[in-house]
Amino acid sequence: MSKSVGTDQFENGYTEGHFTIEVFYDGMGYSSHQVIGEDRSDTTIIRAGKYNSSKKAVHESIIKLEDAEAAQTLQKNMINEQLGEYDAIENSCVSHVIDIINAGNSTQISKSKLGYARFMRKNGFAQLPSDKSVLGG
Amino acid sequence: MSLINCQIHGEVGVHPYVSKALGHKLDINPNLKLEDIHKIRVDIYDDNEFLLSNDYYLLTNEISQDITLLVIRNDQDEESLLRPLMSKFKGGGYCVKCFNIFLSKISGDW
Repeated sequence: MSKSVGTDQFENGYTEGHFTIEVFYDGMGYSSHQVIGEDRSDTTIIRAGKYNSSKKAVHESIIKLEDAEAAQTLQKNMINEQLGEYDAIENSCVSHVIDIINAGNSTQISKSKLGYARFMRKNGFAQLPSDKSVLGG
Repeated sequence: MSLINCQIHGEVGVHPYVSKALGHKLDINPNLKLEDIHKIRVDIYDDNEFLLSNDYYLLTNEISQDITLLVIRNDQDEESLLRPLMSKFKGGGYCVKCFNIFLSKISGDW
């Protein structure tokens, strides 16, 4: 598990679920995830250890990192930072996961809807059967 | 695709594709009608391989009613078709439980 990252997908009522990330470096795992403030005007990154241990992940993927120290440093630097409004592509739980992986690898995952969909497919993540669809869908 | 602390449901998932304007309107008036909202289905392919599909919800006055489906097959499609739409979702997202309750209510309007 050294120099790697564990990405977990959890059921959260929406079809893509919620993602957390844990970077393993120098014998230590450090986990984090993105959350939205109550009034939806701001987002931040918090430690995810308590969340991870209280829920059962529906899928976990372990990804090798070239520079786990850089990934973990970015994680730590983002804790409790005010990151502005939620944006599914630019500022979400998935974008946080991608930011951390990209910090630790030279091959960059595209921060786009298609980039995230390719990442999910490559690492075995799937849409969960929880999307509510009306309006002729 | 994230978590929120909802005043009603506590720590709960987020529906990421509720536009900012629709979310604000729902905060003020949870009794919006079916005709007040518009849904666009976005299908994502990698060339011809289907990857995923999501429903995006907006106020009817935010976008042309003619647009009901976007098919994204490559990065160029995303740039030209999806990027312009995404500007309406920055600052959006809504408690998934509250939004599903809302959807259930308006589906009864049919």
